[in-house]
Amino acid sequence: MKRVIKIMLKTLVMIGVLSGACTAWIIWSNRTFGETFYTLYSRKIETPVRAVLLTDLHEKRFGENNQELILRIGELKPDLILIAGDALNKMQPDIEYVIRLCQSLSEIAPVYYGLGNHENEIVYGTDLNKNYLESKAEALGENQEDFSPLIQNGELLERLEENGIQVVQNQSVEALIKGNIIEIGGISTNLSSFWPYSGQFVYGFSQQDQDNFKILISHRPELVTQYIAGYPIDLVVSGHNHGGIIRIPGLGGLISADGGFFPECDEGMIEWEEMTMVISRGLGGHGSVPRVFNQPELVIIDIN
Amino acid sequence: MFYLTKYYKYLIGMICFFPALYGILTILNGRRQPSFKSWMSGYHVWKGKGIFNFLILGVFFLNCFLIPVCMGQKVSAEISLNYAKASQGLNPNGTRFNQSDILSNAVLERAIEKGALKGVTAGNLKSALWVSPLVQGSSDNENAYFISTQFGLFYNAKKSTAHLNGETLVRLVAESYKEWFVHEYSENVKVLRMDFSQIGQRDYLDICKYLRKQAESIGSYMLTMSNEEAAFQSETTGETFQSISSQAYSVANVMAESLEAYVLESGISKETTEYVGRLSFQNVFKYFDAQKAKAASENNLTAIAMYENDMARIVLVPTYDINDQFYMSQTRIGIDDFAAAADSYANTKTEIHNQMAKNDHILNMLSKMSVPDGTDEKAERLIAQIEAELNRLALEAENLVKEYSTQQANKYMSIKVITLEDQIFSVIIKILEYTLLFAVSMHLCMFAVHINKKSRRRMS
Repeated sequence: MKRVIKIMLKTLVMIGVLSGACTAWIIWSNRTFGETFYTLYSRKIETPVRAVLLTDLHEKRFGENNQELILRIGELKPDLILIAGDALNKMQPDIEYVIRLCQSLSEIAPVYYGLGNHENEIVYGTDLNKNYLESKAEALGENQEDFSPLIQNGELLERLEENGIQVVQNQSVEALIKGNIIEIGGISTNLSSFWPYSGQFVYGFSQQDQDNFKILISHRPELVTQYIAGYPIDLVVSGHNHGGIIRIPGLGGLISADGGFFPECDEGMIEWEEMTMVISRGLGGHGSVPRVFNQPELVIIDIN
Repeated sequence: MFYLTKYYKYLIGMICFFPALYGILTILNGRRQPSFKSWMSGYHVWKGKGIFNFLILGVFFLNCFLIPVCMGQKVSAEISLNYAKASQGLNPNGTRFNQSDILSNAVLERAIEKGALKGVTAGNLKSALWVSPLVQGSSDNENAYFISTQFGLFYNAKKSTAHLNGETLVRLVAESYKEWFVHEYSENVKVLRMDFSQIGQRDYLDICKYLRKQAESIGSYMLTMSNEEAAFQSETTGETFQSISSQAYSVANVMAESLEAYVLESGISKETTEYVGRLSFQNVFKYFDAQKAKAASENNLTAIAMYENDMARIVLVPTYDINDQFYMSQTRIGIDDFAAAADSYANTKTEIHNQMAKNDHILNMLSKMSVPDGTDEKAERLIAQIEAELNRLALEAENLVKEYSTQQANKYMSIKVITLEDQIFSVIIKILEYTLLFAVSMHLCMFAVHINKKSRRRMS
């Protein structure tokens, strides 16, 4: 009996030391962020443009008030900053967090904000699923792609607008950046609701002014690969899947943000004839599963 | 930390070496003893070795942390050149390809700026990076010799670069090289930049020549591009290299020709006396050149007449064609050279006479028309039209070349950074190797201790 207890104790100590080491390593690797650089070439760009992409922050802080992140972005000298959704958590969102971040970022470069599913929950009270949108057909009226009648809590959008942050939700804006005309659009629908609640906008966006460089912020990457792969939109930026949360070396991400296993679009750059999609592993996370072998990622895109 | 990760494999080797040596020597010594087999029987791998096995497990986890860090300090990337001229060792514009450009200061400084890398200079990067061809033939055998189109960019961290992420650094350098390469070798459109600022100071006939040359330079540049990619068509204008070339030559042959005809017919000049003097002076020298060409041609004809009967008429050389088929090849001989030279001088003479005749015609027209010096309204209008047309064509040509270059930019070169994730199996093997080495050396040592203990017990 004594021997069994001794073996059990030894095993417990070993497991304890091992778990402690792993936990320390996971905490350390999640407190810092890595940088991934992508370069793409387009005839529509006269002077090279640099975009920085932030996704899935989930109220994560790198240093006090995100100073480490902001400082580094400043050093990278971007010409525009794209936020591809989920900067907040749907449960008890800290709107001040995102406002402070955006204020600091907008001092570096113009910020374009695409909503994610968490912002949808905060602003509309629910993610924009097809069933929900169909049930609100009357409120939406003829323009099914204008979700403003569905807003339940407009504070986030108002505060962003007050601070000069351009929120793109089923709409696009034209920006003149270093002599290049760049059109930036955004969608936050999902696979079920993309058509008809964002599809017409995306189609129109892709067809208008073919000489201008076009960027689409789509928080979810799957709807891009499924519905609009290869459309004449020069660059699509996405996030959502947090790089698969746990990355298995050699196999990629394990869990998607929607709960599936081995998500196809977990990170990297996918190229089609006329479209390039960059998927970020994101900077933060939520829920109980920690990021393992999956350092938070800041994406830098050079467009030449 | 840098030195620990850099020399970790040596450290673990040293740690393993002494216990293993002690174990091996003891075992070798014990083998001579008759009771060696009985010593072995009492040894257990697990029993009573909790601390040692715990130590081995500890080393395993240390390996799991340190080996990926060690491997992260040695990163490589493959740079493949994907254009046709690469296999001839040339850049897309025909100049000689130089692999050392990959680590040139311009590229490394661009990488530092691009990645906003702190505390590092181009010199620091250069000391930690090197380039070598990945696939190289042998120069011993002609069939095995070929020029590499694949290059490896290797990074081995130095103290000055240890704070940087190896993968990011290699990617930045490779991408910076690609940007530099595309900029340097595929957008050379200087020839398409038209400069008409000095044109007002020239006389009309000189302007005609200048405009024709400008039009021909656009046409010729577009023809060269067309030879490279005849099927390329602009997405926006629908123009091809061939179509712009035709338009440029039409400006040279129609618009510039019309201007010249008008100038000649009207006998207009901004400075008649000066221009007449210049042409007369030219004709004197042209006359001398024509005489020289005539004399040279006659000399060659005389040489042919003198040696024709004594020289061989045909020389056949036995040779093999590209299909290894034997045939007799007819080669050029001395008499052919004389004939070719005589022909060439005769042509030169005729050409000079033509130019002189043209100059005479101009001189005749200028003296006959007696138009007052100064600017001519119609000529100025025609010149403005040609300038506008050339500017339009040059802009279209430049845009087309840029469009083509952008389309080609991604194709010129492909970059593959070998990430740690790509090397996962070698990482796992290394972790297991080092752990196994440590475990074996520890057990050898333990076994030696076990033998010694038994030996002492027996002795007592």
